[in-house]
Amino acid sequence: MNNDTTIMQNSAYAHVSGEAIFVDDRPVLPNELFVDFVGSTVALGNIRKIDTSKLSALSDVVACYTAKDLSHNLFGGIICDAPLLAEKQVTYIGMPIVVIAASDRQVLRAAKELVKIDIEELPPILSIEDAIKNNALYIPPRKIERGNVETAFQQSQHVIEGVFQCNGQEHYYFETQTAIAYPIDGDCLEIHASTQHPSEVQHDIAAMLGIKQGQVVCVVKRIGGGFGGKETQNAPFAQMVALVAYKTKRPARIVLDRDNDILCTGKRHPFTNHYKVGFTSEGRILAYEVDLKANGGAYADLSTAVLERAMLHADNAYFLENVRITGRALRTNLAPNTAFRAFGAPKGVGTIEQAIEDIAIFLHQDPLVIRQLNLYGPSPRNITPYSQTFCNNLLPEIIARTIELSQYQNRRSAIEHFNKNSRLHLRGISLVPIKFGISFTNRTLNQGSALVNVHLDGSIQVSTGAVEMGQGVNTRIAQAVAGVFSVPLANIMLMPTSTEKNHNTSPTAASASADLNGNAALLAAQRIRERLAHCAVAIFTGESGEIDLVNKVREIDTIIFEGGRVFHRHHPENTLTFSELLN
Amino acid sequence: MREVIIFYVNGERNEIKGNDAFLMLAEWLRKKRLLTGTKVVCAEGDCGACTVMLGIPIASGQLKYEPRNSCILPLFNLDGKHVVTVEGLKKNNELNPIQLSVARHGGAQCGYCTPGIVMAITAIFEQHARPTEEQFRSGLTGNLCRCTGYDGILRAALAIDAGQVNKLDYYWNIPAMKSELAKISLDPLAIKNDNTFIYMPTSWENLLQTKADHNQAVMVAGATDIGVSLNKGYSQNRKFISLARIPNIDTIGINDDVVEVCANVSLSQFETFCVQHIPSIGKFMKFFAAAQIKNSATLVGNIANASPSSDTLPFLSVLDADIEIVGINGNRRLNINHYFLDYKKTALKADEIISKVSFAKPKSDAHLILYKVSRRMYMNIATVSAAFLVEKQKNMITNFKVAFGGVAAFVKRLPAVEKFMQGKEFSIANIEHATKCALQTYTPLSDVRGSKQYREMLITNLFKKLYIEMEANG
Repeated sequence: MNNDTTIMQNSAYAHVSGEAIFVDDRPVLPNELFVDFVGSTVALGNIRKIDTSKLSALSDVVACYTAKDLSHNLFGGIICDAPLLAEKQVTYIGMPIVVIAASDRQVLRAAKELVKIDIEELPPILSIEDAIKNNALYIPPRKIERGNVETAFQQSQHVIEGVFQCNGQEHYYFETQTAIAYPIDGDCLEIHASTQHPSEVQHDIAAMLGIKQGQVVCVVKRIGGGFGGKETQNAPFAQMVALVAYKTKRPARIVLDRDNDILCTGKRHPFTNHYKVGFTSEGRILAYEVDLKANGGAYADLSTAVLERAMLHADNAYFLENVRITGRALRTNLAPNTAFRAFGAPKGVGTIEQAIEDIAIFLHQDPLVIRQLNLYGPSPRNITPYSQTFCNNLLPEIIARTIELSQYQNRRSAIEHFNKNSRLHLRGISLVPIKFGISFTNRTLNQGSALVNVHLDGSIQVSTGAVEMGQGVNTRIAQAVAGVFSVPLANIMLMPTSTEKNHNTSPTAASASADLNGNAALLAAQRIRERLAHCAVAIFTGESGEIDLVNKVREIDTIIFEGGRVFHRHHPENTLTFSELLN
Repeated sequence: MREVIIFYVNGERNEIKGNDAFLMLAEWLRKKRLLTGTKVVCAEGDCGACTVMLGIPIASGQLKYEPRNSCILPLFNLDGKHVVTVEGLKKNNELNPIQLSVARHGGAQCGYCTPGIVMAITAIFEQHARPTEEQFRSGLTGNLCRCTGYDGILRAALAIDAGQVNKLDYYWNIPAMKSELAKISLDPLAIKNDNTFIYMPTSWENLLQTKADHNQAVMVAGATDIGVSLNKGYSQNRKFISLARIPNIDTIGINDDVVEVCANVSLSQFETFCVQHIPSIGKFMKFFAAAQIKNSATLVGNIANASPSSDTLPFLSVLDADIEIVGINGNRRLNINHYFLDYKKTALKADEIISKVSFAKPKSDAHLILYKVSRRMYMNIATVSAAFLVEKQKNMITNFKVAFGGVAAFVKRLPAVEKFMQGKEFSIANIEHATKCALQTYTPLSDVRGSKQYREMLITNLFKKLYIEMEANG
């Protein structure tokens, strides 16, 4: 929809003119090095020998590094188990072993071929089934349970069992994993990375090099798509260029080629979920049992959190009186699987929706009827399996309205008629509710960060912990700040996210970054406005802006910011422009 | 013989010598000219983020602008042409109506695909003064976006006020550039380096001699396959001979119901021709690839490349197309069904070149039915493709030909099936028998696009679909 109130994405003009700068659009400096790595060709094996001796034949190869060159080589936000560079064992195809830096990109390509790595290949674990057999778990099995599931199954008129399977998915962010490191004043580094998590990039680089976090700044102007794939998985590549830049004192750049990016970065988690559902002849669910198994890949990454979110969404929008949800995050020899839009929730939701389809087919009913029958409702049908009270539940009403407005029944009859008469095509219709949890399940991550700079001419720079990747977070934050000062949106400049302005931030993830960081910006802006109001009180009344205890009104609240102008409520004829006030 | 490549970028003249001639345009634009609006995402001509407009001199002395994937476009193929990049769309430093609409209607999210989207829409307006929604959809099939779900892009395209859009010639009407390009675009050209070369001879005699002298050289037209091989490191061979400058080989025509397609006819030209003369093929070509690829790639290049999953080879196979082969030791003509020997292996000798392909236009009462099954409709390699040529009188089959692609090492006819169906009743029982017979002939391969069992099911279903569709259409 477009109408007069629609606000354009604040980079839109730069996008359509090709002027929007992404990491690899930065010009190559004359002394810059190109970085790439040699990875494992097998899914599991022991490294016998790493031979980089042939690289010396290429004069353009400036440096090569292995695990031995790192001060610290174990990383991971939840479980610290992932080496940056493999030392003794390789655990997935593409796992980085040797980092190479060259002054010419063509030479870099040739150089990779010259590194010989002797690996004793071992039989890998690839599937969920094999991982279960080997009991390859990241954490002990998780469980959420309520009611008496066994008894409820016995009391159910019907019981159906099934398996829901979902394979991986490649993020295919348009901008591949990319990073540039610039050495600053000898011991410091400025990193420009295509990451959703600049703080993690900063912290992981400092740890790897054994330097202070304050010596590293990570800057992110924008990223060309992330979708979860750059929440944790840009950091290793940023670390590689940091390593090269720190050791050689030359700028260093890595731009993964598409094939390598697909090969060596994690994907959406494959899941295999066994379920059992007990229900009445009307289709009301009495008992539900589901066992979720996630293929986490070679290192923990975010797998335990993805699994937990899948479990927390196993109910989807349905009240389950007797329920047992168990989950296992499994270690295999795939590239470490990672965050991907919806972060596990589709696996929980998809499983119970499949169970509902099973019930509908069994009872010869429209699945929508079964869905409506089992929706969360008024007390006592409003408590989730994890004991949260489901407030403001509008689902029954939304669904009823949607059925009406979409003419669902008419459409369904038309489709049935079509299917009876068509030999080559089948049509379908489905109306499915969804309940999705916004924000991080790790509650400490639910915090934002913002820096608001008001300049003397009235222009305002804002930088926050949120990374712009096309979701429009910068536009929303600009609107919020413009509203506080009542100035035109064009006066607000969204600056790059940078760890020297916004530090110890959460990743831009969990559908919550605009709310978290937008509120931080709002608070910062409000605080500045208060200070300005103090000045305005003094200007307009000749008094200082103390609290007027007699009238219980703060004097500063009598200062109005409206339409780019500032005035005293009691003297509206006397106005200043925003920038006049600043001066 | 000129030994330097001359082309223009956004109105500026460039000369390229030596090994730089083998760089891909996108890489050169980004790294050597710092024109970074052009993005490289897939590096294989699939996603369109690198789309640029290529101005090609035509007889009138004007330039005709077509969209191309710059990530797989070697600089040597730019000689005598004008490249317009996204940076070349602003006039007097103001965004044009296409750019404004994409910005204002949510056509851009992360922005990485956006320059390519803007260029693709530019290309649509070069071709159609007032594009329809269908023309926008079709013109955007070569551009992927991971953020928008395409709704915003289509909305932006439809909101453009066509009356306000100027063609590229309005922005870049530089007479000196046009006259130079018209003058040089047919020069003989040769770039020779230690281990690389590109020859662009201007006569058959020279061409055949050059090919005979350089057996290891690869013939190149649009370079859509070579570009991918070089980018991905599948091949390091940078020894090329182009037939782009041989006179009169970009023609396609029909004589006495025989269609003749010369070596330099692009897939776009072929599609346009077929839409008019052989609608069943014309309709099918829509799914072959996007405009960016079809403007570069040639039908003869497709044959020379001999991909087992090619979309064109099955119908050329059932039409018993003749391949005209020329060489320093003489010319010959070969039925396409004798041309394929094994996976990407053909009967073409090292000193031979395909000059033309010809085939009889299907009779007016014949049914040429083409199928392609792939994971997405556009811009994809077929898991299985099929061509059926069926003629019948009442319900009796008088002619039945079938070829499948994507199933084996090369595109193959099914003589046993054809023999069985000849003279038979067009019935489901006979079709089912033919299916069984086909599955006995083929042992489909298993690969990333599908297992053997899946392909067997597709073959079975395509026979069934043929029956149902033909029965429904009488």
